[in-house]
Amino acid sequence: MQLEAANVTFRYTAKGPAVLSGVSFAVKAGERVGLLGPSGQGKTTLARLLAGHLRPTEGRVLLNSQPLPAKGALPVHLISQHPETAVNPRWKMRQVLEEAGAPDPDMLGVLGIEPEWLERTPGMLSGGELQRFCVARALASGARFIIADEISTMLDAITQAQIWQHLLAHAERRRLGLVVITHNPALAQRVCTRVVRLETLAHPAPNSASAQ
Amino acid sequence: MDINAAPLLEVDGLWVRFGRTRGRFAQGQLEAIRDLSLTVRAGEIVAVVGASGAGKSLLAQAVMGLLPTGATMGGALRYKGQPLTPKRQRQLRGREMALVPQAITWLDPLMRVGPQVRGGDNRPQQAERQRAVFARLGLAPQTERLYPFQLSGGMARRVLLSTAVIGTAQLLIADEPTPGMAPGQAAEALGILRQLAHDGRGVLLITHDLELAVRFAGSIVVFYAGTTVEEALAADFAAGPAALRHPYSQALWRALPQNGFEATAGSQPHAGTPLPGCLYAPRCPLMTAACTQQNPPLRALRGGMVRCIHAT
Repeated sequence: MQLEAANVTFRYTAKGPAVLSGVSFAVKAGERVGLLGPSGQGKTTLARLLAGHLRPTEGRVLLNSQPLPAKGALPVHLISQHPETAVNPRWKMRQVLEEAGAPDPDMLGVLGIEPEWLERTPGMLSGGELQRFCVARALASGARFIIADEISTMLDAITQAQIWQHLLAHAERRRLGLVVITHNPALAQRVCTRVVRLETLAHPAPNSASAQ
Repeated sequence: MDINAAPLLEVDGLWVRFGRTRGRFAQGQLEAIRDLSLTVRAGEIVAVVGASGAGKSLLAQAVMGLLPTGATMGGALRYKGQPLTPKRQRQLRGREMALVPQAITWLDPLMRVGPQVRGGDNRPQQAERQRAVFARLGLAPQTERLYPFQLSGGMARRVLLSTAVIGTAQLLIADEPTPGMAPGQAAEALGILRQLAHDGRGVLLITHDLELAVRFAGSIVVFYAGTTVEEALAADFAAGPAALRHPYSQALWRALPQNGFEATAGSQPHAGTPLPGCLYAPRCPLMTAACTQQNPPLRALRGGMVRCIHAT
């Protein structure tokens, strides 16, 4: 399986600047690709395009050389950098989890999710606690590709190591493809099979795309 | 750090509890912060690190008087030696004490970020100040015309930071100001905080990023399960586990990707679970029967403080 962005350009508004211009990127099943680059250069935008949350202005996002399916559950799951914006604030955490399918009780234990938290609403949990739910939800969703957008920057180092080791074990066992967006080179080195920098993904002469 | 400088902020034995309902009638109490103590003096950066959910953000909210409804607190909070009453918090908030909040949802989604950072002050010199702060934080001039949803994660953090930097507050509480920023930008942001401290302000830096804390803070306070477990000099963290006092601080150091990525099993006890002894005992390699008797008090050790009976 392969998830691919083929020569994508993206603008948030029709006349606005191109956040991404002629970017190509691919990740295969079993690969864990680290994506590094300065803030505000479009890493999260690329993540949203790959996950089908946004559509490219130009270019295509392909899953096994086909456009992303328009119907049914998409086998690409994005875990956001801001867990507080990825959960329904009025739902109890149990509902949030079950949105993606029945959670595996073992997984809740490994991720350090206390049974009591399931009865709380997101406002009563810390960012790190919410992110564990988002990881559990991603793994329960049956996705083949997981895009982890700065998922552990708001976690303490021990929780970060726990969550990543859990995610890596799952990825290995199920041959998931992972895109790992991070600002931490040491973390990328630990968890990724290869690392690319965003600014190297655009085709030469990026201005030609915006001039059209 | 100047030990003789007058304390700006003193937190002594702080606790925060949430009321909660169980079923239809029963009520319980959730102790989110059990026993926190720290001091911030003018001219220094004190970093607070520790487990996610250990109460770091709640500490910031308690000091500012911005706790969620339903929370009760106790213990002593003092600002410049005087108790911080709710009335005094309202007076000082945004003037003497400023908060850089953690969640980017604190930005007003319907307001362009430039006017938002200026805080309703429409004088041209305020706009100039805002532009200068943006430039220093590496935000392009056109950023001020954007709405929050148009910002990247790292840009939103820098906008939040500028709201506090632009004012004249003596005490700055920065709650996770750097996630989403590239290493150079994060260092620039903390460089600004360090300069503010140099100019005589006090900074309480709440962070998960131990490396940045070590580089920029004078001292580091470690939280675990709503308690202070260690106070150390940043240099102790730079030196490694042998210089640290508490087993949790040592585990935190070893969990960094560059130091072994060691995932100590277990999680901190939840606020709802009463634990008679040391809160770290269930995960601790040094645990003995004595550890389960009572939660040890903070004690002085090797120029720092530790809450452990075995630490040497």
